[in-house]
Amino acid sequence: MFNRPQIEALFAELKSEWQGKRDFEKIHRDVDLGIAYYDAGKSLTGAGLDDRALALIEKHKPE
Amino acid sequence: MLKEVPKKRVSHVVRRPGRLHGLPDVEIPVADDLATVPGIPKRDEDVSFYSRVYPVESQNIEKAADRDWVWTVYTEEVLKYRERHDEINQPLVDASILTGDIAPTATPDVGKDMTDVIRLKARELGFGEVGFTKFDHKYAYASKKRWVKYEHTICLALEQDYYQTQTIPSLEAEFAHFGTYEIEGALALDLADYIRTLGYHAQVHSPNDNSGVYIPMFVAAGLGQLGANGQLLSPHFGSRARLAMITTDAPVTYDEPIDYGLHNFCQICQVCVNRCPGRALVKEKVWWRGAEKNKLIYERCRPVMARYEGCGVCMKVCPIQKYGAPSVMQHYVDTGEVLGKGTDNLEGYEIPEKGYFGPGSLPQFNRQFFEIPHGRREEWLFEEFKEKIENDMLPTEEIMDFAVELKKILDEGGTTRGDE
Repeated sequence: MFNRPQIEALFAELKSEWQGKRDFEKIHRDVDLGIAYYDAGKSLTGAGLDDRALALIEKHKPE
Repeated sequence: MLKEVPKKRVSHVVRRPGRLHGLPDVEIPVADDLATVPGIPKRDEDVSFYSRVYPVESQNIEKAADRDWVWTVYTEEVLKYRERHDEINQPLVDASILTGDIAPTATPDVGKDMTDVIRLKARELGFGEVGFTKFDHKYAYASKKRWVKYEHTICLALEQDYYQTQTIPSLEAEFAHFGTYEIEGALALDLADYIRTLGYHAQVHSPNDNSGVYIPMFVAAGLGQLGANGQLLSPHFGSRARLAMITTDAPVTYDEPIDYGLHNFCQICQVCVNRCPGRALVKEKVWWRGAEKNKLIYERCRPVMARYEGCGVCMKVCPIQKYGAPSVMQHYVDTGEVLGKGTDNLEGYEIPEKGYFGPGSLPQFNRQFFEIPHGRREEWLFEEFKEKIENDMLPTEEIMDFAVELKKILDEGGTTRGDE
């Protein structure tokens, strides 16, 4: 399950890369949904999430 | 590979328009064990009785004492921002009050149903949820009962910023909260102007000068169901929206209430109840003024709201707000579980000077923290006066001060204006 430091690191990167750009909100929403699915043990493949959100989750997910 | 068998049987599927104009429709599967009734369980005779004998009144009047008090405990930043917001917002509220008297600017196309054109225009303007129902005077505030001129109500929900809302509680989230009111106030006036070009009257019920309890009418119009946090949970953004209404004499067709499964879902979820910093939300539903609901304890909510940037934790931690009903309800059907429940990303929040609170942990406040003024201004003045008398006999000068202050309050009268 994502813990607080992992969540903070992920969102810090999301903000530095995307805040102020057009797709920020879409990626943010998909990151939140992706974390929830990940924490629930659900596969993210085929969940219809944005690739950029998936990349962030993959990078910051718990070991 | 075999597909996993869903844990729950589906009772029915709700089909709704997309979150924004132009986005495809969505489907929301409602599990068998979540299905109850369209809208909310109600006892109509009780709703009528309470409306007649104990008519509802605006919190800005009934709770004016604590609404004054909040200004004394705001942080400096919130205070400055609120003052600025009120300055911007006042002309919108002023304009709304008079809209019912403005004449239409065209001749109506008699016999033509206006529902679709008004709905389309409202969606184009940016309202995420638009519904039609009769204005139900049982929910009108006592002080506004005679103000409402037209019988058909257009219920309008404007979504507030997603990112800012996830930072609750924060000043950033207050920008979303009050900023949305400013946008909505202007958009409602635009929509009313448009309705007049169709040949009909349109009276704007400002989101900051409510004419009554709006949520029951939004539920009647099929725009959501009442959540355990006491807020309207609409399918796309839960309670992350601000509500306004327009009443009109344009011929429209009423929408019907919908069972999104939320009445029961909230009882299973309970995240807002468990995470409320003030312990203001109640687990079990009660019958209140004829509706079955989780009744919020105002006196435990307000002190936290006032001191911690509007709080709003109950909005932030709601899975419907964060993920939307289509994803949450599908996940429930697939797994029998509440999406995000028990996770830091949904449930965690930070309270200034108190730190971070993850799932299972809550801030502590002492009894004094919850001691706030109660009731109307004059009631609180009486309360304070009574206490002084009980403690000692007052000098004539103080008795006169009390009389002068009371006269001032009575002369000013109450106002329904204020943040909601």
